[in-house]
Amino acid sequence: MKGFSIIKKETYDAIVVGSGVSGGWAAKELTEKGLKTLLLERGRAQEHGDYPTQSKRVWELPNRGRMTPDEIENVYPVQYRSGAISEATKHFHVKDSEQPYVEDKPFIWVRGDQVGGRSLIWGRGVPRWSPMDFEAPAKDGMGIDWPIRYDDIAPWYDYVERFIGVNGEPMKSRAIKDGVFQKPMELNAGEKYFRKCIEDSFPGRTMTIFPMAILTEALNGRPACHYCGNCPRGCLTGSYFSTQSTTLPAAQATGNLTLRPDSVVHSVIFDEQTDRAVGVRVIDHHSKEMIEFYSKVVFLCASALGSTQILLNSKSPRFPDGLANSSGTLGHYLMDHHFRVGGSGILPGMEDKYYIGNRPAPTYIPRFRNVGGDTDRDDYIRGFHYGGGASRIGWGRGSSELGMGAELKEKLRTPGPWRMSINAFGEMLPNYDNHVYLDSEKTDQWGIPLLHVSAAFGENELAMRKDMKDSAGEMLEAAGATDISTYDAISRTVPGDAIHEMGTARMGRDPKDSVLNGWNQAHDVPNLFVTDGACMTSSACQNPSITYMALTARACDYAVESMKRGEL
Amino acid sequence: MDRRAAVKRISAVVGVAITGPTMAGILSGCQPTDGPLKTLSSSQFNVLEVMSEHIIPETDTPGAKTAQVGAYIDAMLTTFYDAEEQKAFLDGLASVDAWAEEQYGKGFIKCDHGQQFALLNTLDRAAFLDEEEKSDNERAAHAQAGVENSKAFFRRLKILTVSGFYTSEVGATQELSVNPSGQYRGDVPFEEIGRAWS
Repeated sequence: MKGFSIIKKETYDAIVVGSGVSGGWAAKELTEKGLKTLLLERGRAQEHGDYPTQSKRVWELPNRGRMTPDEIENVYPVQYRSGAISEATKHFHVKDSEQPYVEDKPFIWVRGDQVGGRSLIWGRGVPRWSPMDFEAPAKDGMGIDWPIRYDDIAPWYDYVERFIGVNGEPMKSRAIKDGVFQKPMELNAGEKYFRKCIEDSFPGRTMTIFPMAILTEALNGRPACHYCGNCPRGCLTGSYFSTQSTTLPAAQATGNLTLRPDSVVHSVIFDEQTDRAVGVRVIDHHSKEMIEFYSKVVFLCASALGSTQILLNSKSPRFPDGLANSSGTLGHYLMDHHFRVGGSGILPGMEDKYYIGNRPAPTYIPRFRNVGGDTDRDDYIRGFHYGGGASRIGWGRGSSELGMGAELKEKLRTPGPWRMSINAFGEMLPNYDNHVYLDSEKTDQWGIPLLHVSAAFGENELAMRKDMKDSAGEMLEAAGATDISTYDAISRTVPGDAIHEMGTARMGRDPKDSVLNGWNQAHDVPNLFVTDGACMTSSACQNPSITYMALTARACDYAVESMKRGEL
Repeated sequence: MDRRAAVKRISAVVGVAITGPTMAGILSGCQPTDGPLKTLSSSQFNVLEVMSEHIIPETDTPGAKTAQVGAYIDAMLTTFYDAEEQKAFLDGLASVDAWAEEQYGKGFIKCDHGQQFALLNTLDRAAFLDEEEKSDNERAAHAQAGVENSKAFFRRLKILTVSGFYTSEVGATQELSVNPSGQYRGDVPFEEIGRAWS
């Protein structure tokens, strides 16, 4: 590092890089097991409850919720492309103008930039994976075999769900595994009708409420959801899972945690004599000083691309192409989910029915394709699920329909008809060509080489999308919907858009074709663990965060037991 | 409701391709202020305030004027419309004036209340009524240059007025009701609530 003098700092038992969904869990587990742990976060400090827009009404926001063209163009161009940012949530997102990366092919990288990371802005949907998801690559040959099966992770799902609180409705599906659920949030009248129509017309399909990491019953001092509807702005009561509301307080309560925000991790320090990671190099966000911290074990939880960028930048004579990369697969097999395809329509009748409160959960149609028997397709492998919901059309219709004056006003006092919409999320297959790598010259303001991203959807995804669209139309028709419109907005979506980026340091059985083993432990470096989305061998179609949490807790348990046995 | 859901829901409601300024018109705007106008002249502001009050008038609750929709439109034009879009909007406003002159021999603001409403109502029908539901006479009337030139402007104005009103404190809390925190019930008789949520 030019002009940087390295400051050597204290030693810990464990270092955790990243304080989002995975890092918060690693910090909690390691500290509770007695390890003095340093939790590093590249973003700013963020206190729980310091959520400035949380209770604001739409008319209290200077632009009524809207990002201005100026900030979209000059500050948040990438974050805005995802649609996941608004005037009320922008302070939780990275400023793209200050933290660039290179899109060899279009890729949307949505990043948090504070303690808690994306646990403050995530969608909170937490369906479990199922046995078929872990078995799929071995069965159809697309990708390498997972080194674990559902039964290996099942007790850890239980463990995580009991601690964070998940509400949902048992589905009793042969393909989908239920979690440990608090009482479900109710479907509304339109959704109840739609569910019945689906069940009557398509045996084996159902629609339920999306399993969500939001409390419907008090848990560990956290009250149940109060249905304000402003989750993406931070939850003052801590009723949804975030690092701040749930894992960080637990870690802090042990007295074993040191949290250091504004700490951009440059690389992992590797000792060739012992074949072990001995710590990390941090660039202070503001002073730009390089500081070294040392530990017995290192957990990378910096997000899929964040962790991989750190590994790629951790070069040594033994690992000239990135730490723990003897397989050459580090940076490869980047996945996301593919979406922006589905349909909507107007449900008949029920005009005497309405709802009260802002339910923060969509509906969920679990995967029903390629789950055995007559559900198997010959045009694509794997599957998809739908999120969605019904609601009565609001005042917005008044701007596009005939009518003026007192008559218009009177009409809009009554809600419009019920509109049901279902939107699919599909599995993306791993592909070696979908990859990231470091720029050979350009660096960011902390001297870290810029990350290049090159990824695209493949033939299987495109074939699946046709069914994702057609099946939506078919179910809407079965419900007697009118004005049905189905869509496939493939031209408006790219990898990263679903904000479920996965892979690039995948788990596997063989050190020759994977970076991590079945314990999220680097094949090449026994005291180095990666437990965020980077570890994923395949993507399934479920929202991935709950699986990261379970894998993290499991890996922490394994790491501490191994340390006790003197193996790390 | 998160932004993505809001955009989707509103896209669906409007049912048309949503352009930047249109979307802005639905989701945004500025808090009403008593500050100076940034884009509109005071006479343009006055005309727009009168027009929006025709679209959303005072009834048993306040209308667009009390909700300061005029200031909202000025803020919208300033922050979200580029120069070309501003010009198109203001040219449209001028064309209504020219058409009023043709019809009644005076500018829009000088017309009486009934004449003003009739002009805007003609634009509303021209813009939003299905062609097959129009009589031959009406179709002919809508083909006049005055109507043709003002129709696109009226569509914009209606979006700005409706969004500006219903996202204002007046529109959201006095005309409609804010969906409350504290409970969620998914299946409630509408008559128990009696008013759409804002």
